[in-house]
Amino acid sequence: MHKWFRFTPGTVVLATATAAVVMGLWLSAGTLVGQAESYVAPRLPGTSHPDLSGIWQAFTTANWDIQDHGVNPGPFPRLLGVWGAQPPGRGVVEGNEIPYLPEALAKKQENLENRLTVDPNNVNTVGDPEAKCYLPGVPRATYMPFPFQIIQSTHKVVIAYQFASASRTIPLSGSTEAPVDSWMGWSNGHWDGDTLVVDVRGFHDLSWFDRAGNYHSDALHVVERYTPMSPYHLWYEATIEDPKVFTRPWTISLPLYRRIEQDVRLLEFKCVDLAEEYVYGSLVDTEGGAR
Amino acid sequence: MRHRLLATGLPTVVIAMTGMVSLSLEGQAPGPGQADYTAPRTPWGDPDLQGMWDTRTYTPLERPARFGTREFMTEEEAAERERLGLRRVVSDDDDDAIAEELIQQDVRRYARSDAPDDGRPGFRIAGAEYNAFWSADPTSPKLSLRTSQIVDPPDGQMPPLTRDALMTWEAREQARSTRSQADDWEDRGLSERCITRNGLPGEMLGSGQQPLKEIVQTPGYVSIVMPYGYVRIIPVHEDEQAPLGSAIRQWNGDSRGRWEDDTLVVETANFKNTVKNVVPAHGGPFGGSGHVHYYPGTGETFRLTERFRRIDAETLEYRYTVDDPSVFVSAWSTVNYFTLDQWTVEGNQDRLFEYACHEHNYGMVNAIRAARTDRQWALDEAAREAAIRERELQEKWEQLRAWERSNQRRP
Amino acid sequence: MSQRRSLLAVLSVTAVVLAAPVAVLGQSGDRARVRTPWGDPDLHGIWTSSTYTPLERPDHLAGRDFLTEEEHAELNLLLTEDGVDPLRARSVLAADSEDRRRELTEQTQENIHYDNAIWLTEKQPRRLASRRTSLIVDPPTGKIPPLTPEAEQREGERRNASRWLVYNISPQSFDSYQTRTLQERCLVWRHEGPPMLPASYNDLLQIFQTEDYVVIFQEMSNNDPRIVPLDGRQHLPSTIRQWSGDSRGHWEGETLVVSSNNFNDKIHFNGSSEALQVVERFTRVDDETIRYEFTVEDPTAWDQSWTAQFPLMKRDGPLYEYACHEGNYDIRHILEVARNLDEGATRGSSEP
Repeated sequence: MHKWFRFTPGTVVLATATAAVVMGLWLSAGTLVGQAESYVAPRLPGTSHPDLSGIWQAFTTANWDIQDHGVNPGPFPRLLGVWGAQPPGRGVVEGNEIPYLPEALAKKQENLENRLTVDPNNVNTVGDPEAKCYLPGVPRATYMPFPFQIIQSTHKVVIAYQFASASRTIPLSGSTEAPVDSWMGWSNGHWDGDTLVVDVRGFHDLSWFDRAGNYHSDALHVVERYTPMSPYHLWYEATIEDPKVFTRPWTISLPLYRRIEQDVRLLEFKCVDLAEEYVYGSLVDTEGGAR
Repeated sequence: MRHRLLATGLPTVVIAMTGMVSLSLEGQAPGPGQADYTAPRTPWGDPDLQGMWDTRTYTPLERPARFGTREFMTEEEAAERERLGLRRVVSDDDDDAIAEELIQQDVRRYARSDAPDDGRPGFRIAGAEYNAFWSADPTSPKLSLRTSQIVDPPDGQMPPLTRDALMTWEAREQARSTRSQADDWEDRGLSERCITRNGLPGEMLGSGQQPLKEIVQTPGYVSIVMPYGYVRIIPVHEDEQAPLGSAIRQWNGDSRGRWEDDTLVVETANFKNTVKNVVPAHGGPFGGSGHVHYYPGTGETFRLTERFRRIDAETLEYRYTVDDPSVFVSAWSTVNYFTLDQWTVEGNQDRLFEYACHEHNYGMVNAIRAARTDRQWALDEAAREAAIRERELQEKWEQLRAWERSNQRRP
Repeated sequence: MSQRRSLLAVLSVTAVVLAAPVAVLGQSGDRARVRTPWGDPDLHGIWTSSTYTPLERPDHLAGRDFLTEEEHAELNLLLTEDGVDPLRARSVLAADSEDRRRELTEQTQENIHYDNAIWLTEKQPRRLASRRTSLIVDPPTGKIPPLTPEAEQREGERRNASRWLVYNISPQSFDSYQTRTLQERCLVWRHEGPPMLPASYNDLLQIFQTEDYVVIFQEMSNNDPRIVPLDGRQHLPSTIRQWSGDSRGHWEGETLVVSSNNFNDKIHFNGSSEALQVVERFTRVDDETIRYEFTVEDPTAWDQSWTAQFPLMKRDGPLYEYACHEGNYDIRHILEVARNLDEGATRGSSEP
């Protein structure tokens, strides 16, 4: 029989050492994988639920485009250089497909082409609402590149977003109907194990999902899930349903990271006065003495 | 249709007529509070200030002169003011005739304004119906026998503005003098621009339009959901107290809190007020009335201290002290009471509604366009309002000089 | 060339701090195999790709895969003489006569890129790294296969739109930064790849390894170090295109095989489109040498794939920062002068 392997002392030592190293790597990898599934978050005192309070932030480029996207020079490169460039990024849509109704897809293209158009006669129906500092809606508020704070009490959760001072109040019991449509929707929350489930309806059709023109109608229904994964991560999912625009529900998912810097806090980002020149500038009389 | 309380804004004491909120003036009027009351605790051990609070008050900011240094009026005095007053609570059973009467009350109120009749049709009643609709309310806050919100200085008056502040005001008037009512958005004021409503602390007191605020707590933070589109987040954890550097300034400042027994003490600084002009309508701190912007300061030296304490199950005592040596010759302090909102307690409302002001601000589009269409008219309007402010400016100069005389300060 | 060595410890001294692996000698066999502690072949170190061997076989050497030992030695002597212009010496094999060879290799005053004599003084002289007459080993002609008609047309259009300075000057070539070469614009050098080609100068590259990644860091590169995952994950989706494509690697015995897709439509590797696919193979043949081989395929450009090979030779470092764009006055000057000429102005530039 052909000798394909020889035992020598060196071989044994090397094999043992290698095995030890490999075993160590395998064990630690297993621990990391298992950690996410078995993490038990501390409870909010007085409740049996995990405390999701804290300052959180997503780290994706989903606000540019919730689907896979390559680099792009962005608008006005002559003025903005790389400040305005779109970075590359993987999407957050599971399966990367947004199932538009065929007749609804054209509107997305139109949105994309006109995303920086300002029409004073149609201030909130033309162009990306973000550029005008309008409320970002749900779920876009979650993955804008700014922190937000979850304030969880025994009966309600308040989520305050740094961008445009947007906020939502989410009762944790009962379920009420939206008396009127709004930008941030009408949220009702409940617990599913350690997952906070937030059911959101009552949107009007003015907010977008990203800068790429992905949009919805006033039939939008979003179900969010916030699940603690570790002391420093939440897993966030949002299932989007809108029979006027999409053929079926679809889901986005991404991690949320806890901001752990000392004294970290939301800073005021009331961007209205930063957007006024953009929104109203064309109206101002520059010849008649007003400027 | 459900008819509701009309808020006329006049400094009167309200008498409840029906069973919605029935109380006698003496026994349950907010005051120093029940001596033996201890606020409940949240499960994590902080005093529990949570709830939907009606933050309106019918107590005037400054004390009417007749009360001198008295913090509280007597029952008889309160009854007399009621006799002169216009307020009524109405119930479900009332009908449109009541609504019409409430509207006429608003009309009469406008008719008594001291604006000269410039002959424009409908001038005096314009907006009355609008206000009546927005001011209607199913509940009312508790009454108070206080003669003024301001308790310090002891005369219950806002201290005079400093020379620096008055000169800043004059400089702003000068800068405004060539501008029309709406040459661009900066002429319209922070409120119409949807940046802030009245700022702090003014916005802490509710109005007929927006009476409510909700306090939601979590370990380490007290949050106040404000009706005009933002949440005040106040860290109360010892480790979260480092102040922001002076380079970061915010319209609503930066707040940090701590517990002193049952009282939440909140210190706020890092204000910004980069309003360039004396602006019409409301806006920055102490928004003022009738198109006067009382706050000719930049916010850099402004420090606000607030104290929140639950004095019984349905009442939160709210005190604040304004300290801005660039603007006021001395600090001044107020006391107010927030009332737990029964409408919410009864399950009729579980949150504040969204305030999407900027998103639909066609008012701004229309104002700028109108001024451009007829700039002369817009300039004339600006001049008319400037004249009102000029009167108030002169009053403030008089107030300062009197104070300087009595304090033997040299100009 | 391969020598037997006994135990060898290799420490990588690099600008990027990684765990310093200690190469361990494998056992058995005549040839020493340098290994990482986790048992992969060890490619760590600083290497040069430098060689004057041309990509394609010169016509006058048709049919010959290799130079003779004498020819090779003679040319290397020539190439290491004083005054040789390393940039012009790229064409040394193309010369079919002695005179022509000298003409091509000597630095002249008319076409100085930089003062080569000063800044190219190096301890290890540049030469022909092997006796091959071309880097291309397949097809056997040593030449790039002919372009498809589609590619011919595409290349023609491109050349019309953007004339290279050296090969064909037309008025349009100074219209814009967009008509300048990718090198001038500090976007990508021709040698960067993948696939990599020998660089004329700043020719060092550094290879790092972990169990899960191989990193190839080229000194003169305008793009990121290539971080090649070895875990078998999929390539990026087709909507994401990159200057350096997207690389994935795996081990086949002693050879690291790296496949790259997702190139953008701007790189044009000898006529390719964004359908370019590259497979590179790195095999450590001895202590001093890695055999580097690449195969490229693009059905829109060539009817067949083609393969080239050259050695990477061990060198000392360090690698220096290459901040091309940050110092790029060339584009500005070129366009300024062109605009001045356009306007018929005769004002001079204040800079030489």
